[in-house]
Amino acid sequence: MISAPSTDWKILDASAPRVHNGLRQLGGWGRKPWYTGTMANSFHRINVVVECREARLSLWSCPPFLFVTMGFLDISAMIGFYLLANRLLDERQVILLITAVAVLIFVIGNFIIHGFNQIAEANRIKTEFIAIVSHQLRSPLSVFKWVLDVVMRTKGGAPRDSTTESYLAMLWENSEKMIQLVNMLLEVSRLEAGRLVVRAEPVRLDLLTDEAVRAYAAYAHASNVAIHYPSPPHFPPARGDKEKMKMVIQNLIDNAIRYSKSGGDVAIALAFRDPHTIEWTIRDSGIGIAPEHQHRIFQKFYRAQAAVQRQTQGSGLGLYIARSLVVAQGGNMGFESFPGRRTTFWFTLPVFVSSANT
Amino acid sequence: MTKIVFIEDELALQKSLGDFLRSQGYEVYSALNGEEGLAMVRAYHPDLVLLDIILPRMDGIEVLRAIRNDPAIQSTAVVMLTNSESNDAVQESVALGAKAYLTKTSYTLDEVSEKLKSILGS
Repeated sequence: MISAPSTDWKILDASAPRVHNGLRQLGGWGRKPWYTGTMANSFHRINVVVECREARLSLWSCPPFLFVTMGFLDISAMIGFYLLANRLLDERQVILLITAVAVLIFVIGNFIIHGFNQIAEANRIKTEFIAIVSHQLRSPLSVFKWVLDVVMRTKGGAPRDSTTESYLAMLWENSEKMIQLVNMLLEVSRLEAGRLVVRAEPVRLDLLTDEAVRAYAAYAHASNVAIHYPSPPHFPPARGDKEKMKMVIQNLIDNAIRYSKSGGDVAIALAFRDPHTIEWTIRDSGIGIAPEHQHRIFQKFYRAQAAVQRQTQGSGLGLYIARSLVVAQGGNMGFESFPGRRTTFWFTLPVFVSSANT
Repeated sequence: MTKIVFIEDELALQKSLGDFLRSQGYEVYSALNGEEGLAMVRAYHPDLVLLDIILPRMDGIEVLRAIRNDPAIQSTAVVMLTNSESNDAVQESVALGAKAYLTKTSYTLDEVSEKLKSILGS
């Protein structure tokens, strides 16, 4: 069921007579709602009124509702014409009636167009909103970052006690988290606006991974998770965008540590899937992803129930962005999960081929 | 002494990065808007210009273009230092010969200083 039924819906469902015959159900039109009965559940899926209410659109600017209305109008108009024209009306009256109905359909059509425009506009405004907010947030964040940096490196004056030092460290850590979150929001707004530009430069995934593993060493240690990464010597570069891949790799390592049990381990490997494709994999020994959540894991703002229950932090944007970025660079991303045991995430990128040699 | 003109309208950033660079031994001239910044570049002939993009009076791209169009200061090294990541701005500044494009939130003071050192060294 896509839309959650409101209270009125439940009452209707409970009191509705069980009508199995579709025709009889249509016959009930007018006296009681046509959507009651055993078919109510399937009608919920196409319950346009609820859909419109959820989208906060008035009925007259809600395309799904208007389409259904127009459909019924079409059907009744045709049947009506047939009956009327056959029995009651002369030619002039028929022409008049046809004109009237055609105008009515035209008007509803215009409402539909208007409704679609409103939806498109709402979506555009939302994307714009994210872009503006993320941008305006970055300015004060860069002030936090640099001023804190100055304060933390100031050694003159009265020496600070360890409590103050740890408070400063907390501030630093959290302003970094905020920066990361704002960067992710920006990335999402770019993806949605179709303004994402990815470079096609040589990317040394081995070095990027090295760097990321080092950056996450403290976090892994604090979570009591061991990271294994046998850095392959002189691994050939992939073709992609270095900055974006940095983000992807950080995100996957972060996730792997976050969802690992204490005492668990994380293994990263870099290999060739075929002569033209590099495959990067990360296996954790974590809680895994329940089968019912697996198909939604790359959706925007989606967080698996287990993740919410563990109260681990996360915006639900990381994997959505990571996959979108990898796909935009001509690669792919996927995973394999055994709940309670382990999850392996992988992504692929094409091998970089220097254009000078070809 | 290495001279830097730092064009940035946010006072807190002027102070934090400006003071930090001074402590690293640079001679830093602070400008709070594009016009003032361009005048300083003309007056002091710095070794490097740190240039924000969204600026009052004259934006960073315009300042960069003005520098490139003025034979006296044409070859000054310019590093963009901004929070704006619009692709147009990146492409335009690269086309106008900016040495680097740094996003403020992704660099610590040390990292900015290292970047400057490598640019000034080359």
